[in-house]
Amino acid sequence: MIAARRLLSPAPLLLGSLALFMAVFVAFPLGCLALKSFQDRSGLWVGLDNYLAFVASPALGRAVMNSLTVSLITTVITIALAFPFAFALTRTRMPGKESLRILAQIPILAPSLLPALSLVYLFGNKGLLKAVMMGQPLYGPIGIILAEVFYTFPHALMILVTALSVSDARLYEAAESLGAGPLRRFLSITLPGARYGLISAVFVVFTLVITDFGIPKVVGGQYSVMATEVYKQVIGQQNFGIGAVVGLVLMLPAGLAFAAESWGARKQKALLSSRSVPYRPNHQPLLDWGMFAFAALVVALLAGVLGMAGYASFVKFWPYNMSLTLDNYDFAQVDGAGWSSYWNAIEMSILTAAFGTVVVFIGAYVMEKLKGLDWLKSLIRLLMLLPLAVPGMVLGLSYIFFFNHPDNPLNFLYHGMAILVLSTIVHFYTVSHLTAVTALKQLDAEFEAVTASLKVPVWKTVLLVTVPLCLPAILDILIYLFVNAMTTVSAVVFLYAPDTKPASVAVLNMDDAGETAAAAAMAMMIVYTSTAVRLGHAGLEALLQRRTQRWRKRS
Amino acid sequence: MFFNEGSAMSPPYLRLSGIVKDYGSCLAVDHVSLDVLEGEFVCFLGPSGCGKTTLLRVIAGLDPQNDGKVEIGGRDVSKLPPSARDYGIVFQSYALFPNLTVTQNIAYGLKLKDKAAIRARVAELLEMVGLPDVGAKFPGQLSGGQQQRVALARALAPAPKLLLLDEPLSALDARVRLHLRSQIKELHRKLGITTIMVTHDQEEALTMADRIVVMSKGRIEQTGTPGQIYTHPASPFVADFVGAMNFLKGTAAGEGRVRLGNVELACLNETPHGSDVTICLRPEDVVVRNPFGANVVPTRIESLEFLGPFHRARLHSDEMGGITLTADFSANLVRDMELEPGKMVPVALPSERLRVFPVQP
Repeated sequence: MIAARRLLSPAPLLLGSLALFMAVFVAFPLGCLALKSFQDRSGLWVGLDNYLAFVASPALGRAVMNSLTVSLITTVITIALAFPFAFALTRTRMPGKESLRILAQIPILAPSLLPALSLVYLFGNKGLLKAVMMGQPLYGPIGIILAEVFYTFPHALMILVTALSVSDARLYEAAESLGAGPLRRFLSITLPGARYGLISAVFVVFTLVITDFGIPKVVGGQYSVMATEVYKQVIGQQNFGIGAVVGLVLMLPAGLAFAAESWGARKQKALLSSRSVPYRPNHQPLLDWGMFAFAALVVALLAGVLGMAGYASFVKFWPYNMSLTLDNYDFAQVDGAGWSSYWNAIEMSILTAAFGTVVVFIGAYVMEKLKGLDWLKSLIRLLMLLPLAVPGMVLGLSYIFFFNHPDNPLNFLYHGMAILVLSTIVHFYTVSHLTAVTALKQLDAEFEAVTASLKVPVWKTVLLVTVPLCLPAILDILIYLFVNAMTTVSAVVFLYAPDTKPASVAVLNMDDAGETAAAAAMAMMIVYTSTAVRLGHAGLEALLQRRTQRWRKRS
Repeated sequence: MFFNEGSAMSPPYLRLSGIVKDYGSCLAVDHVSLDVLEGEFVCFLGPSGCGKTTLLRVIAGLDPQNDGKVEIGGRDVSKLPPSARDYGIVFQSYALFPNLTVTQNIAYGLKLKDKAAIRARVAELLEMVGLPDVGAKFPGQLSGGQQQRVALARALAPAPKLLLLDEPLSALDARVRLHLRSQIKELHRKLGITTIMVTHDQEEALTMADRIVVMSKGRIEQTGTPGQIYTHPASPFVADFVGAMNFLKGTAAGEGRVRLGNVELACLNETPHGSDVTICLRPEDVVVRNPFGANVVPTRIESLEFLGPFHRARLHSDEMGGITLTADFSANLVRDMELEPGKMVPVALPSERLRVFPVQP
């Protein structure tokens, strides 16, 4: 009887559901995409024809070259800015460190379209600072690169700060006692110590740029890149086979980046032994203030780009009537959907955050705590990590192929809010999952064993102990999913229906229709919302800290 | 006393028969059978990776065995989940719930409905582990030793018939460890609860256990009282693992004789004549005051290492084939006999203290 109870215990059932979820929303769509790349328009098997057409097409070849060019240049510029910034945050006594660190995260609050819109106002044909361009057109590689630097900067900075935080003061003391000067210490200790972080930052930035769709769409002009080409092939020409091929090619750098990232993370961890002594920077007025000037300039530029869009969203008729107005926020004037796309985005973000957090946390708990069925768990783990290597565009594309197939019993999902929410959860699954796993790993591994020995059901301990202990991580996941759902364009642009169009897509559409001011206004609505949510999160976290500090505090 | 009444007549409280735990890459527990009497305090002793913790987790049902039978209190629990077995467990990491108070932790497994009854039981347990005033605190506000005692109280709260301790003292510093050792022992005496403790610390096992189970590579090397294990180790492994030991290479020289260089020693040898043997002798069993009998050999003191209450001497013996023997001499013996490096001293190697093992080919 008791043995039967064990068989019916919910754990294997949960693992099974998790496997099913991952199969249906990750494995099957991607498999479908791969299959599609071997079929023609009518679904007939054509072997490698699509691949050959891709290689032979001069237009697609140009898109590949263009993508590589802007991605490489952006990567160089972003890393060149982010590395010294990260160095200043971790290795100097630069004044105003905390504020600069927070302000440097500004771009994360905005959809990637926003810097593109700002640039139009700054350097476009009617731009404020058009003279700076010296006759060069903004639309094209220059605009793409400038906007991508803004968009990718915080991502690179985060990785590099982590890498540079790992340091052993004793290495520096040893080098100094051996007579090594500052330059030699930097070249022989600092740089090698951060090399894995540097490699991983390079790959992450490169991938973000090559897979980004919003920026080239807004400021790319006639300059075609792979991401816009996928969109053109699939939505414009209904050429699914070629679209699938380009999508698969786009997965290459992301896959590489993913491999480099996990390799770098593993290596990085091994650098610091538990006996290391953390590095404490000395006062060096010249370096500290020099770095401050640099960091302040970077932050001012970031804030300037954001501020420009904010300002433009209130201007009546750029550049002829610069008086301020709220008219641009009356979206119904320029877009049939009006404000509904904003509320769609809110609904989508709340649903994504709520369901996503529950699925992610239960998934991580089951994966961490359930014993046995190791083969199934490694399969699920692979599918959980895969989304990190799948660009949003490719995910969206694969969802079209899979869920829009008339024979798919899940076809009913296709035209509703559900597909937007599900695709967004999957798109941002990996980071959320890893956050939850990290939090769970910090708990004592024997809570479940103790619970069983005391004959208390496991769910009671999960509710009374595990969830309260993981609350900060759970909040992090919730906010991460919400803000990303709010700002994402790439997957949903393939999947929205007229009545579920989210705000970020509305920005794209309004810009397409020439309504740049309204587009900027909608983009700013996204910024206001994510800022409010982040601030709310910070407040909640402070409250939580105070409420739980009694048991968190060591005596 | 309760734990002494478990005579050979009564059935064992815990019976393991042919337990096998295979992790695929290694055989963690290799056909182990063991009986533990009611009220007994048994230590699983061995180096890390010997399978002692795995065996404990098999008993607890946390890592189910691949083969074999576990019976607790005469009931076959081999296939039952942990929650259907009756035991309390304490881990090295304590595994206290950090967001619950000490009282809430201890009351976690109590099935009492009445709030007052729960309060009374918790107070009783806190009193028992000597921490009457910490009920309102959180685990993070207690020292390591206090946390371990709370974990003990929590495990004992539902009054289990079996207590499992997984390296309960390893995370504590030496002084606290000594104190807790005697407290756990005292508690065991008072409650008479059948207890199994896993440890890699031989001193802990020797001082706390009624019976020690020495394990190596997933098998039981020897089972016996601390005295038996120490004075009559059943194998060179046990001899080496428990206490300090001289290992001398020699050959069997017939019934009750072994040869070491030019010397023949009397001992309890049963190995065939001419075979290679290892002769074991504890450093404290080397007699330097009034040596007499057959096994007296001349040695020269090579070095004397001061270790506080005693000196550890290295004795060189040309007679025994140029070997070096380690011997422990008390501080006042060294003073009385004016022992110092370079001095020649005859020592006796008492025949009843010599353990002879055949050399494994």
